[in-house]
Amino acid sequence: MKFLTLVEIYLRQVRFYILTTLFYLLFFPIALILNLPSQNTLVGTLTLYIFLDGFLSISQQISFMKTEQQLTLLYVSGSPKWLTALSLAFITLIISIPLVVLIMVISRTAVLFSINWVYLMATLILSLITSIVLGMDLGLALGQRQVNQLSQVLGLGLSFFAPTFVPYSVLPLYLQLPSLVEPTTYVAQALRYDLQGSFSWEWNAGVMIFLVIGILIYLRVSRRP
Amino acid sequence: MSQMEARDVWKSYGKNVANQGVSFNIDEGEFVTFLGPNGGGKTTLMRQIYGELYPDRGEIRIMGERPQKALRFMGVVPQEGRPLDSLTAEEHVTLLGMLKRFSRQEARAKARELLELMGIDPKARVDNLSGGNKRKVLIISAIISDPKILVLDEPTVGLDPEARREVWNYLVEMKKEGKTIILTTHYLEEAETLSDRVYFLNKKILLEGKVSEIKQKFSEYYVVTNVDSGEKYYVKREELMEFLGKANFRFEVKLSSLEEIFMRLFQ
Repeated sequence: MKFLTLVEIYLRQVRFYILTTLFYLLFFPIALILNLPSQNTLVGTLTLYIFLDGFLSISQQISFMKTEQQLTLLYVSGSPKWLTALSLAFITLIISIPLVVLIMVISRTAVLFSINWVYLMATLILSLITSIVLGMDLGLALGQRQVNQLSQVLGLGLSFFAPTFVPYSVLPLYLQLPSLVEPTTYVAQALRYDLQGSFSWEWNAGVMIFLVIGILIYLRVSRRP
Repeated sequence: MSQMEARDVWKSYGKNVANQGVSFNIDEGEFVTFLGPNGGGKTTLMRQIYGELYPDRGEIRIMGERPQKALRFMGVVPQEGRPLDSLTAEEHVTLLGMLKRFSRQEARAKARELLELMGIDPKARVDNLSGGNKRKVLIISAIISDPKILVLDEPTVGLDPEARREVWNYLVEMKKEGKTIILTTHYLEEAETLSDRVYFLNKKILLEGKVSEIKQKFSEYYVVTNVDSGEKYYVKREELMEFLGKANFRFEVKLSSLEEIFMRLFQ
């Protein structure tokens, strides 16, 4: 099956890097939550996990593969670009989901919340897929150098210039409105509801709109040279 | 009926036109080379042939199908392609073979056979291979599925003469097996040695034909070279004697080579 072969190719390429990533992804957020135990810290950290990590790593990986002609090589071997991106996304997904569960379990010792796992998984998977599609768009649209430079700004902007570590409702109006163009706003607010045991259709629908926009952009940029 | 046909293919990047009404036919088992200067639209055309790009206008049909669907009949070595890093040569060829729907066992067996034939250590990391051997790994990865059509976009750029000859010999073998081969190159000698037909492409097709026919067409011109300065003069056959009579330098006279025809066409 092509998909699993692509996953195998990617795993073989990053076998050493993956250990470093796991270490960073596991210990850093746990330390952050345990040192600053609050629901806001938890929501902010999860947002970084399930949106920013996928978005930035996929965009960088895709632009690297584009620059190195690896996307073309895989394409001519029978793997369309979307399938290559999906296999990268799958790795992100299978690493992220267990880590999120682990973080939630460990956070329970320090933070009070009443989680609904079904709602959390719905938000988690929707957000991860959206982040991957948008990351793919960025990686296909721009060169490797531009993506690397933009990543630094986007990383900061999407985490700290959006209400991820604070609720949307506490922002003044002049910050609320611009934050609505950032997908992390919707992801973080949807997560807040999940951690209170309820589900927000509105904020999840916001994430869904970004997904649709991302797919439309993909259809355009995937035809570009 | 042609195995591959392009009709009035146009492709632009913004205001920059890369292909301008390109049409061609390629028959089964032919070895066809596209020659042209840098920026002449060769790679853009190849990318449309293997379906990575779509023409703005016109169409390409391969065995009656769109390039994206016909990709399963093709083996492709993209321009400036590098093998997937961090893999061994065997892993590389096997995994790309599996993408072409071989089972792991089949792909591995075929990979070992082809790597051995090309003299590459299957356990060597592709990152550590020489430029020539990296290119060979790409060629092997392209031919593992025994494709009917082989598309090679400047496959010998950067190779030393010995490695280039090895690739040539391999392509000759492929041609003997009846495969259709489409090549782009800057090396005129390569085109002259290997091709049944050549297309001179600079955004549009400037000239097309068998190498011998093209040389025949240009045989009315002789190239007179000033052996001291290296300066070249293209002189018509009927004016040759008069020109030589007036020449006050040491000279060499010969018929136009493909390289000289290329230089005249693109200057």
